Amino acid sequence: MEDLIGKRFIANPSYVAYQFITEYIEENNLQGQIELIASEAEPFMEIQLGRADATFSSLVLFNEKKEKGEYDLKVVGEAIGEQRHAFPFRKDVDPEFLEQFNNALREMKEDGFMSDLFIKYFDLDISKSQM
Amino acid sequence: MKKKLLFVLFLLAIMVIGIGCSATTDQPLKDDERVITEETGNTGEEKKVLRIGTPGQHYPWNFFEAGQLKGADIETIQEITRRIGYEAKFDIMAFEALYGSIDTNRIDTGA
Repeated sequence: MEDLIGKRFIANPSYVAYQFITEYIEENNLQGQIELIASEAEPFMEIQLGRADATFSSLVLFNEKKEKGEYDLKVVGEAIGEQRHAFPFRKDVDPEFLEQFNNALREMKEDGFMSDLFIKYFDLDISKSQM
Repeated sequence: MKKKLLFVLFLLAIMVIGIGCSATTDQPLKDDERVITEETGNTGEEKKVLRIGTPGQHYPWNFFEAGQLKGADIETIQEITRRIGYEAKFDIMAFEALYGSIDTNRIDTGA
């Protein structure tokens, strides 16, 4: 994150990335040291065109977005946050069924099924934390 | 302009599917009412069914490829149902409709 000092960071003000970088700048008294560009333009395109230096990206979606847009960009630094993903059920779901469901999912994490599946789709094993 | 028209048609298609689904009840579904069903085994007995709503348009989680529903979420739930001996029945619906449909017991979960 410190490498952003002296750089232009682009984010859409209605997205969480903008909120995150704003709080980071305030908490670390970096006002004026990181130039924050509030823009609704596609951040990857703006960086490609040299109008900004960096943005946040989902690790999961980066490769696909990069290939689709033919962007000459790369991921740097460490993961700054992660989202958990779950299947929603009603609260009155049969507890016995739910236990079977959760056990199967746990087994799939343990026996490598989820790792293989995520590598197939994302080239990244997100069954394990990237933080 | 053509693209825009296609998009509008696509939205209409989603709406039509949504209306079609809203007529379903808690009664057992007839085969022709099932949007997509999958045989998970051949035990000869009636399988329990897990009803899953999905938009089928969020690559790479759920999407259609050559008419087949695919994606990380889809394959996860297919494998879970296979392991616990359920049949996976997918209903295509807008993402915004998922939680309401779970709440009103039209589907069991969303992917």
